[in-house]
Order: sequence, then structure tokens, then C-alpha cells
Amino acid sequence: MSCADNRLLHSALLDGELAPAERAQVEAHLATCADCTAELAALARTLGMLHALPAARAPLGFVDRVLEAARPMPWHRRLGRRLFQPLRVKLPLEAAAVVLVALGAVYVFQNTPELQQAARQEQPASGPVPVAPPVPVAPPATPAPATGPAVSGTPAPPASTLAEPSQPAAKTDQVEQVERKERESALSEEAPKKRAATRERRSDSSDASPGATNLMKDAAPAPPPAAAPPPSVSPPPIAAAPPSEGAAVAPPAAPAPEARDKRAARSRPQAPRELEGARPEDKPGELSARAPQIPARLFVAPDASGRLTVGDRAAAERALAELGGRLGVAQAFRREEADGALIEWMVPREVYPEFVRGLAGIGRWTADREPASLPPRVRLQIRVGS
Amino acid sequence: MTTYQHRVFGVAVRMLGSPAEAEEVAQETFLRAHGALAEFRGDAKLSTWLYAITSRLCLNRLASGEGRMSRARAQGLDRLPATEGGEPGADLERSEREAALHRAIAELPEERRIVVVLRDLEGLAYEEIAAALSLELGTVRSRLHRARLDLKEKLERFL
Repeated sequence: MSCADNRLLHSALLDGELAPAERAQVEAHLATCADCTAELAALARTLGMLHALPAARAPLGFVDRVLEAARPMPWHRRLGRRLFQPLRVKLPLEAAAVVLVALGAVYVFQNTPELQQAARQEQPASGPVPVAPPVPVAPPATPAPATGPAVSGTPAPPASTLAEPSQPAAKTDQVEQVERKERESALSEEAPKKRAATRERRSDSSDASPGATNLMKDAAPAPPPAAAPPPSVSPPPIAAAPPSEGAAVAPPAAPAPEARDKRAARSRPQAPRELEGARPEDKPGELSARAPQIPARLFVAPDASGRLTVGDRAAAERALAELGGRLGVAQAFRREEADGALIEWMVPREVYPEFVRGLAGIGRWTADREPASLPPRVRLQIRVGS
Repeated sequence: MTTYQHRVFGVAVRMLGSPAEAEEVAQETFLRAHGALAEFRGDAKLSTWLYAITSRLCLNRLASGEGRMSRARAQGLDRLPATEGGEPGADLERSEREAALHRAIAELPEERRIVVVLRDLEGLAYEEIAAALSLELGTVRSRLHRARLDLKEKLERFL
């Protein structure tokens, strides 16, 4: 038996676990080998140290705690024990798991728009429903129905209101006569301004131009609009008119400044350029360009008309322009026709006789129509031809 | 339970190194034995059966948290009760020797440590150890011999 084989059996020899034959072989080797004998002695001392260790004792109250633990526990204690014990192991793991789950939930929520939308929808539903403040009911935009025809003192409704189909269909003849007279006066005085306003409205929208509509209605047999701005009578403030008196209700605030402008324009002395209906920014060529818009007014008879026969028509027209400039008479309209130029002048009543005498000085003046009584501004049509 | 409480607790505390964990394992041992008492056949000693349960619980626990147990083990073994009586100088030497022995046992591999504990500290026979740990007798003998050689080398200055 070698020393290595002998030493493998030392533990069993010390414990008395060797069979008698093995024990005899080991003891025979030990009798002849001092190293193996010393090794066995050291191992025996090590075992002596182990056996000398004091026995561990269970802590006090251990049995009671075991008996207490052996009793049936409530389900919640069993659950808590199963979930959290041992605390040193399970608690950190569970805390980490909770943190991971929370982070995962936040990540999923941030990357899922459907969840965010659902959260936004659920939020107002969970809280008290806010009561919306009462919305004031807007008054009806349609004007009050007209109870009677418009009179001359009634404030003029806006042109858009005039074009509405809610106008009264029937009017008395007297009212129509009054209105026609007012329109004629208005055409004679404010035609330039109306033309300018018509151009502006046409440029704003494609709706029917109120001014042109009025003119066309004058020419057409269709029933005329309810009212036109009276030239000579200063209308009362629009807001002062009771809605039930006029054919049209007081218009919105938009037309009011326009009416004021018209009144102001009538009250101040008019410059020749303004009488020509041209705005300050208008160019000279625009007068003929606007001609196609105006022919409707030719259906309204002028206050006076006549033919001026001249030899040189160009020189005659220059002389007419000088005459008008000298007397402060504005040329309102000019159109070239086959037999000459048709020129319309707005002649103040005070200078009308002198203007007619001036015509006689330019050429041979033949009056076709003379007014019985001169209006403040005489609408004079002159056909200049050779 | 009163008879075996110190033995069961002793095995657990030598294996785990922590008195608190040893108490938990000891409680679990008796609770499991109480619940499985009907399955105890009686062909083995009750102590061997209890040692078998304790050893399995300790090895499972060590396998689940080896690093943490290793750190706490040395401290727990150093706080185990020392032998009483004797002269102060001899007590100091004995205390130092016991502490060195505790550390040497704690540093053994688990499969060797459980064999040494059951044999040299609890006095089980080879057959009982083999039955408790479900090992062959030769495996118990070889593991025990290697464990003792490890302890002898570590405790050489006290021999």
C-alpha cells in the first residue's frame, strides 16, 4: 500500500468505518511509515478540534415561535409570508420589479397615442361636467316686415336691402311718383358719386351693383326700389326712424357713414372734378371707359336738350370745355354717336342762361327741350355735330 | 421538536452562517416535518429525516443566494457561542482557535461542508449522511476526507 492510498483511508480509520481487512493493511503501513503516522496524528488533532466545538443552541422562544407558526394563519398572513419572506431576498427583487413595471407602463403610455387619447377623453368624463355659460341669442338678422310704404322722410335703406326680394310688391302710384322724382333728382346730383360707389361695390363682390341695379330698374318696367336717397331733403338719423314706419328697417351701421358722406358732399361746394363723377385718383380716360355702364340713364329724359351745329367739332368741344370751366359747369357725360358727340352737362340754375348764350356763341344752338322751371342743377344734353 | 431543535438549528447555522436565516430554516424544517408527518415511514430515524429536510433547505437557500450568504456567513459564525470556563489566557487561545475553525468550516465548499457538519459536529454515521443527502456511501467518505484535509491545512498553526 502506498502512502497516498493509505492516507485516503485515514478518515475512515479514525471514524472506525473501515472493514477489518482494510484496517489491518492501513495499520501495517503506518507501522513502517513515519510520515503517514504524522499525517494521521495531525488529522486526528483536527477532528479533536471539530469535536471540541460547542454545540449551537436554538435561540430562546424558538419552539414557541414554531408552534405559533404551525397554527393556521389567516390567508392574508400566509399571502404576505409567501410574497415577502425572506425579506432580504424578496423585498429588493419585488421593489425592482415594481419600478420596472412602472417604467414599462410609462414607456408604453408615451409610445401609444391611443392610450393618451383615451386618457384625455376619460379625464373630462370623470370630473364634474362644467356648465357652459348661457350663450346670448343673437337677434334675427332679417329686418322687421314692412308695414307701410316708404315716404320721403324715411331714412334710405342700404342698396343691398333694396335689392332684397322682401320688398313690398305693390306700391301706390303716388308713392311711385314721389320716389321717381327723388331718383331723378338723385341721379342728376349724385350720379358721379353713385358711379364711383358702384365701381367699388362691383370690385368687392360679383353681386348686382346697387347703383346699376337702380339705374336698370329705372329703365326697366320692373317695380322700382323702395327709396332712393333724397337729394334735397335731409333725412333724419337712421336710428331715429321707427322700424314699423319705413318699408325697410334701419340698415346696419355700414351705410350710415355713406349717407353722411353724401350729405356732406351736398353741403359743401363741389369742385368740377367731383361733379364729373371722377374720384381724385381717376384718370381722364376712365370717363369713356365708364360709358357702357351709363347708358341706362339716357332713358331718363334730361331737363333740357338741344343740338349745337358747328363747323369744326373739335374746336367746338374745346370751346365748350372753356365755357364750362369759366362758368363752373361740369361735364357729366360724353358719348360718341353716329351723328355727333352727345355731351351732358350739369348746369347750376344761376349760370344756365349764360351757359346757353355761350353755346350760341360757339355754334348754332337749337333747343329741343326747355325746362318749364329750372331745377337747382339743370341736366343739359348737347348733341354736337356738324 | 424540543429534542431536535438545537441539532436542526446547529446544522442550519453552520451551513448558512446567519442565526436569523438559520432560525427561519429551522422553523421551516419543523413546519414541513409537521405537515409531512404522515409520510414518515419510520424505517429511518426521525433525526435523520429532520437532518435531511434541514440539509435540503440549506443547500437550496445557498444555491439561490450564494454571494450574499457568503458575506454574512463569516460574521455569523464568529458570533457563535464560545466554550465557557478555563483560564483567561487559555480562553483567549481557545476563542481564537474556535473562530479560526468557524471560518475554515465556512470556507469549505457546500457539498463538503454539509458532510463535515453532519459527521463531526452532529455525529451522524456515514450511512445516515448518505441517506440524508441521497448520496452513495463512497461519495460521503471521499467528500468527508477531502473536507478534513482542507480543515487540517487551514488550521495547521493550531495543531
